[in-house]
Amino acid sequence: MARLGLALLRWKIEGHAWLEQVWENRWCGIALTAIGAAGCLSCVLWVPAPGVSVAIMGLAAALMAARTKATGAEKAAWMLIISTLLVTEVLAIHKDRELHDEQIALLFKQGENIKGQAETKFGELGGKLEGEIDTGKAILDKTNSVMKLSEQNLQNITGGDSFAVVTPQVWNGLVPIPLTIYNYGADARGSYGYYSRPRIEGFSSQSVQYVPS
Amino acid sequence: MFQAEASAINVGTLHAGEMKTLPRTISPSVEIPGAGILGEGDSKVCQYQLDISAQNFTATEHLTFKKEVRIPWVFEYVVIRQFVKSRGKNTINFGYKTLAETKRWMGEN
Repeated sequence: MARLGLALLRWKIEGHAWLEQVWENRWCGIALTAIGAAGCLSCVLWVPAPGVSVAIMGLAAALMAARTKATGAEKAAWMLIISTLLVTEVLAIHKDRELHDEQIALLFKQGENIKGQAETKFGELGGKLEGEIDTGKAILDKTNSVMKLSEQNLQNITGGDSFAVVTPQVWNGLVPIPLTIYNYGADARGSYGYYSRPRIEGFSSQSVQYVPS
Repeated sequence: MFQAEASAINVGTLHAGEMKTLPRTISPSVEIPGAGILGEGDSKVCQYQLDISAQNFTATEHLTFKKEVRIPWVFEYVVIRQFVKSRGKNTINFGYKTLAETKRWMGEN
């Protein structure tokens, strides 16, 4: 059991040493730098969504920090990659903003179209409604005219508020005095023309012969 | 006031503003006692009450004559209409509306 433990420890130490040797190897640095450069190049060619370049930049920074024994050229390459990724991120933000502006402009255009269509439809509807209202007003006017005529006819039939006055014709000095009757229409100013069919009672033809009531 | 014996006159249709001469004449007097004479002495007047009925309502005209010097008689009138003002359970209150009246003796200068 102890032998197995010692063997495992030995494999672990040997594996660690091997991994460290691989990691610190110059070719590993070249390969990692190449992968980083390829990622950076793809970001430059196909500007990704904002955040992707930053993520790659973080990864590159972590690798650079982990490779403690990197050469000066490798470090310079990593710095170039990180700077390019930074520029790419800015480009990505600009691209995203332009895309957003285009979408907003498109939405505004669609909104304008819809508004124009709605205004046209509302205009047509308003015109129809105005026509209907005019028709209704015309009908109402006619109805009012008919009502007025009916009322006038009714007033003429019933006499309305008209009244008649008997006026003695005293001016010529004749005795017996001739009498006239005058229709005052609706009122004393005669502003309405109502027919009246008066019947007068209350005095005798032999008017000097009074009979006390 | 006295109301003379009824002797109706049918005027027929009288349109607005139309004046017709009646087929009757009137001879007022302040001499015959009890014949619609009001007042005393020189202020005596002779008054008639005329009921003018039409299809709408009946108006009452009080026609008053006074002796004058220049012409034999001058007159004044007031035309009133009676209407139902209010109705109680067992009572009806009437109101009177003056339809026309003269402001002075007509025929006088």
